[in-house]
Amino acid sequence: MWTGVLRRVGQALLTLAAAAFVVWCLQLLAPADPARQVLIAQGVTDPTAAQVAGLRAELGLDDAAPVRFGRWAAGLVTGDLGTSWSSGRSVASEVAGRLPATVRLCAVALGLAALAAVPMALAAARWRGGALDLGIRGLIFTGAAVPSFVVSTVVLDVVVLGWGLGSIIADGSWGGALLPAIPLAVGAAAMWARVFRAALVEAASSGAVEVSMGRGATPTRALLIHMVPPATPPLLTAVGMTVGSLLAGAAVVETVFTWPGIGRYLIESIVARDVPVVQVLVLSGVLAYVVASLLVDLAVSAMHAQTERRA
Amino acid sequence: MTEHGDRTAAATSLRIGGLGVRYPDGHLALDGVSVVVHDGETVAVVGGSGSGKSTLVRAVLGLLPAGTVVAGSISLEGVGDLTRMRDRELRGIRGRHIGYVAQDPYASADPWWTVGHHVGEAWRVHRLRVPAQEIVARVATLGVDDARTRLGDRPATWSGGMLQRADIVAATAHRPRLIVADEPTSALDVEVARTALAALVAQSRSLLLVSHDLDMVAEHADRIVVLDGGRIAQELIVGRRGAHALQDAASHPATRRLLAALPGSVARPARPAARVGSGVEAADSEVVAALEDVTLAYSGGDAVVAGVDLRIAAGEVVGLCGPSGAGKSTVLRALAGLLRPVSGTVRHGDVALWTDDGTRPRPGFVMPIFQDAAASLNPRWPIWKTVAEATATTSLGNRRLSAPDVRRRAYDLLRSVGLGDVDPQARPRRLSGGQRQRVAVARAMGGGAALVVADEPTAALDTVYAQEIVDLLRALADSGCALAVVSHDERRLRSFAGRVLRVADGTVTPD
Repeated sequence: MWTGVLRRVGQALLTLAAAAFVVWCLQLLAPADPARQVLIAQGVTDPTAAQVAGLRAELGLDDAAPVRFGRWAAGLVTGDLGTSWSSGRSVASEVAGRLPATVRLCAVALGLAALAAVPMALAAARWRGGALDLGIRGLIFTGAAVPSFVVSTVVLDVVVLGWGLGSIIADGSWGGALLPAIPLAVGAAAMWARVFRAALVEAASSGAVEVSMGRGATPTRALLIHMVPPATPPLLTAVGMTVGSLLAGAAVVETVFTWPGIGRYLIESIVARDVPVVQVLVLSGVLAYVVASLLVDLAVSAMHAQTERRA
Repeated sequence: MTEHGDRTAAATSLRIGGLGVRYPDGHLALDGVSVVVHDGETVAVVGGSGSGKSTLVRAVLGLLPAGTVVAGSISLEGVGDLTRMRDRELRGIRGRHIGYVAQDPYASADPWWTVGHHVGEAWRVHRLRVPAQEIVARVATLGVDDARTRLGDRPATWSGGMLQRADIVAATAHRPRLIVADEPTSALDVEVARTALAALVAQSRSLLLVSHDLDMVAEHADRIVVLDGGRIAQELIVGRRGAHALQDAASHPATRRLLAALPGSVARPARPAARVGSGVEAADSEVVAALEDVTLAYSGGDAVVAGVDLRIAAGEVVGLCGPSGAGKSTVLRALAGLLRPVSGTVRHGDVALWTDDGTRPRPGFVMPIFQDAAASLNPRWPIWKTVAEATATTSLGNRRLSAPDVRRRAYDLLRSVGLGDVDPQARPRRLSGGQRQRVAVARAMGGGAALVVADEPTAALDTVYAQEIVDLLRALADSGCALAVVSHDERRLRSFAGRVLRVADGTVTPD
């Protein structure tokens, strides 16, 4: 058991290290001189060679690549995330200022998704094959098929502009997070509901369900007591994967809603060629993904350890 | 129909009259079936797969799928005709007036809850207080040591026989007039099954027992109803005297088929094994596969078995028996070269496996036969192709599957396992369980294997089909192939294996 946990944690750390390396290396592939791009981004329309050379020296771009990577990696470990090329402030403080807004948005989105997905899947599995099941499955497929920027635009146009609810100025507060969270929640809820319903239906053919019904249990009881527990690990796995991919979704939604979080900051930094910021943000996306998967994996294997007969 | 003489005066528990069941797909599973279970009586319903046994259980429990058409009546004493009742009423009757014991105790206890919860659910589903003390006492009475603590454990730590006892306590929770048991022992080892069945009979007021195992139920049933193709073939009074009491009374072909398929029955004397020995050592002839002082474990776990020495010669059948979870299949996997031993040597012919130079025996040296034939056949392939795959990639060298000679050989093999009248183009789902297992045997033969490993090859089959597969396996060995067979059905195993080894308590010993 504990050796398994240690191995899984080791794998997670290795994944992070490899991701850090790949993320850093990507900038080597980017065309054009970063120093020149930074100067343009800072408003110098036609930088001179001297200006470019000065900045290159200042940013340490003239060192060999392994030296630069080592310096960057050491900084990551010690908490020094570097300096933003476009603002000149430390990346850590830039990100820290925007992170709470994104965390609020994601937390509300996950909560909404769970509130929608779990009852839908339960109802569909309880009356599977019926009209309700059919309707819910239709909803699920629609939700999965519609891109989040379409949902965002509809929410903005209809709810905010049409009905006059909510505010068009996003302040990053809990209250303001409800509307922007909807587009994020739709995709997640559709995936979770699909996975959970399928797992519930699979569990319906188990011997435990048959025996329970044979003893006089109602279908609802059989569903909640004997189908929900075995269907939980697949649901948790789906949740873990969603948490990891939320940053990508947040980038789109925050841009549409002008939400002051790291998703929109990521887009702005990409446009501004602010390499240190992009690297940190992408890496934090990877970090979220790895940590979420690790926690889910550990939880699921702890659950299975109780139920499995050693062969 | 046999007259019951003095029994007609006794009170009835269950009276099934002219029961017909047609599934939504149009299949007529039961047709004009009438069965009476008197108070205090045990009635066994036996029959092969597809005879309608399980449908009968579902009909009595009112658990047939929606859209099924039911004709006739199922009258439960003191309750009324179950076929006329609504779902809600039936739910109140299940468990309280009819107890239910399911087929596989491993599957029926939910692994996500404790065994105590599993038993207590019999009360909980009817919104009754769970009598914890009473449950402990009743489980202890049936021979579960330290019942109070053990009931707090998950089913994964219970043995099949003990779980079946917990099931019996739950089924008899409300002292129902009738218990319905669907193949209650088919998943258990023979010795365990016998005592579990005795416990079930002792705890039940009257019992409707459905089984394919005529041998075992004949010792416990007062009467036996033989089902064949959804109709009653014959009804026999056996009076708990055992299967031998049936020999003279068995007039219907279906009954005789069931009797003849019993291992060691009068109709089929046990075949003298080709090579009879008792030790772990093989006879003098060529050793096909060997385990030498082998210790086996799964990664990170403790040793499953240790110090195994086992040699299998060409033409020999070696049986492996033992309690569930003792490591029978593990030994088989090692023999097949699928599991790397922690220590010791595995040999296929002259080749030592798992050595550093990585020598591998030729492809097709080992062929497997699994318990679940359906899962081992490609559902999208016609059956000839499954057989041809083994032939084309092994015994004939690398050939196209559809090459005429490969296809012809596959057809020949299918004929040789008795599938001559089955379309070689058929997909596996159109075949019965026994026919699918024959395809698996044909595939094993097609590879020209030196060693065939079979894991519970007959466990999923009823007795008639099982005997046919046993005959095929014996013939395969007689043609010079070495066979290692794992089975919990020791009697059947002994009927065709030259040696039977027992896997228990971490060792493999001659038995």
